[in-house]
Amino acid sequence: MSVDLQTLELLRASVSRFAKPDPAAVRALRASKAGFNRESWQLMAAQGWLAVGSDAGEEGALGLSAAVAIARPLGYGLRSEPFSQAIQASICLADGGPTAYCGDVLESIVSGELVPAVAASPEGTCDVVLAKRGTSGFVLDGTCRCVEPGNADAFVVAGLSEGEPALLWVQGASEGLSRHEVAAPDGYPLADIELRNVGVPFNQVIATGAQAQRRTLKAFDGALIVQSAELLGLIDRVLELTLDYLRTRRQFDRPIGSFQSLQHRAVDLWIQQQLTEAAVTSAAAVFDAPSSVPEQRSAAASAAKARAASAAMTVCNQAVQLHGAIGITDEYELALHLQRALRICASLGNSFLHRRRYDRYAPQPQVAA
Amino acid sequence: MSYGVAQEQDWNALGDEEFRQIVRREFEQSYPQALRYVPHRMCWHENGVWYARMAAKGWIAPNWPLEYGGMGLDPGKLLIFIEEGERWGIGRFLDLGIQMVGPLLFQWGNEEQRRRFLPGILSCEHRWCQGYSEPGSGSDLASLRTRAERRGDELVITGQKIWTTLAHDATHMFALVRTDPAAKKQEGIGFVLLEMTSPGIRVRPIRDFAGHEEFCEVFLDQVTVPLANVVGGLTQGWTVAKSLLGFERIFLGSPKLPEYGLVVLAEAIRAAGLAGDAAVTDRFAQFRMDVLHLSNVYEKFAARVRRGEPLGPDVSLLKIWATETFQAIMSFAVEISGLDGMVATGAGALILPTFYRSRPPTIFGGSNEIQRNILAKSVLHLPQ
Repeated sequence: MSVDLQTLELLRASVSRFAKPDPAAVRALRASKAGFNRESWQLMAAQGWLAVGSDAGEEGALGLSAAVAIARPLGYGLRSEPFSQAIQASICLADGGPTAYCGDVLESIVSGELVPAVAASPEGTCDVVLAKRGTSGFVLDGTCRCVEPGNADAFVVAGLSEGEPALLWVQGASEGLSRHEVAAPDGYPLADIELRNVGVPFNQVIATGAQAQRRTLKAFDGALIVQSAELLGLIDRVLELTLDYLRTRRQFDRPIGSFQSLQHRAVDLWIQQQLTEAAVTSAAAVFDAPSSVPEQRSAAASAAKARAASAAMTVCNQAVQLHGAIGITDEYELALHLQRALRICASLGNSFLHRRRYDRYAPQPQVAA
Repeated sequence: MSYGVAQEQDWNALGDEEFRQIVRREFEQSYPQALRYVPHRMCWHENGVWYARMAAKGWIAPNWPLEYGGMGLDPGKLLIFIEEGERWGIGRFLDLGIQMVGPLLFQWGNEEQRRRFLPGILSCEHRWCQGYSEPGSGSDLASLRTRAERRGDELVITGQKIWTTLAHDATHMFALVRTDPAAKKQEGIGFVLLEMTSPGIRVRPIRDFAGHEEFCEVFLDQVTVPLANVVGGLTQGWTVAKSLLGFERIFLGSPKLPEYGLVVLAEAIRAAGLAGDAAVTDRFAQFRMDVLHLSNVYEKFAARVRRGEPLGPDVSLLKIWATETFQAIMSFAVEISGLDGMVATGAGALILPTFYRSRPPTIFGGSNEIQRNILAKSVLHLPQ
């Protein structure tokens, strides 16, 4: 094992200790509107876990592979801290070197002080925000749909300024910004953010033009891979619950896991888990490789998200079936995973969207010539 | 005694990339273009000339140690050698002598057996087929009933083998036979080496749905074999046969066949004028990702092989996913091709044979149902 693999394994182990599944706590958060626990967010920051996004893609950095090592046990433990969103915001801010102001912002994200959300998708999942250039900054008008977490302290917003993209840092408390909160299936707060004449001073401009586009794209791809790792952790846990159930639940005087038809279905779920693991690991490696071009990153990231999302839904749905009626109850842990999967799958695009995106970026098959 | 042809150099001392380039150059320069990606198993009269060249070059047995005339490749280099063959679409000949008989004789055979049988395998003069399956013994192979009765220092064998690949192209057969009908089924089996010209052997090829005669029935009627042709103990055959399940199992799950399926599907989409069709694009993208993630998983197992670690029962996953993905791709190619998908002319000249070719792999090498049983038991630890 190389030093890096060892480091990643240690990282994974310490996140696992932090993120043990606690269904009662998850249910309490689900009912609370808060979505996640700010104190645990601080604990994560204190461990340095929120810093892994800002050096992703740089030589020598642990990069996105470290983010994956963190996200998988978070998914397993049903944690709802906005980790993938913080990584996405960090890549937007850090890639290509931040301005002085953005450097400060990045610090406060990494230290856990400031919870960011990103309303900048290259796939048009949020509506267009018009950014009018004024004398002291931009003035924004528009709506961003289903931003998560809806209760973020500040937002990375993609705007269009005379047809040119601009990436902007918008304070949550800005005048003219209003939030319309909706709850995701897992109770997590999403918000439609409405911007009416919101002023953003020039020093809060993260990037413009091709730079803005590049950062938006790279951050989106990074976030997809982190989400996929979270879904992988979720699959790990649901599969574990299901296999335990198959081993212990008895009918017809024998454990139901001894029936071949159920064994073969369990194997097919395990295969999906193995494929997801390979997809996520290799997508992170592609993302981190200095030699990768944007198309390769996008193809690998979309393939990982498409795989993780369809695998997570398949595993959750089959887990419900294999559990029987107990699988439908809200009282059993499975319900929490299904609801969580529904949100993460849809967020930044589900498997349907990412198959199409993969098709756009992946090379066509060919034989050696 | 020395075996085979001396090697030009110590291949394992080369860097992986350098070795890969040497193998690639040889394959690209010498392998006949017309024999690339042939969608059926070829007989010796079709590709024997090229394999004779490999034998003369000392490249016929990449998996054998140097002392027995092989290339002596370590697992990592062997992986490269085989990947390059797959990449160039090189068709296998009846190479079970190299894949199976040699390695078994290194482990279980005696010196006399090695001297008698290894040279013929290395020169390709002898080609071996595998007499395992019987009409009543497929997945439950240990129930086999072909009888071997001991008479002095000979065995007299009577029974029937079936699904014997290329038996009509073989000079020899290695077979599992019942040596002790009273023992527990795995414990009364012997592993014997036979010559196909022995009196009492009759081969009948079986035509498959692709129109090829690749597998056969082999009838054995009082075939006499010297006891010296038994490998291992007389009732040790099951153990001998099972000992071959090493890292070679990774090749049953190689991504190359489904990758070739994608090329055929791309051609089918083009021929049907369906490029850009939303439904087709969605399925095509899914298949490409299925193959991409297969190669990601394959790479994980290949890394274990390169590190010299043994493969666990989890490797069955590769076989299941590779073969079922290949089938799904080819079924879809037939489906979108309409009339072209059911005739063997035009675009169908490529589609139909590749469709046929995609069907057997889920059955041979341990059916996918058996693979799932193994995974359920040994990896998921589900109750039996």
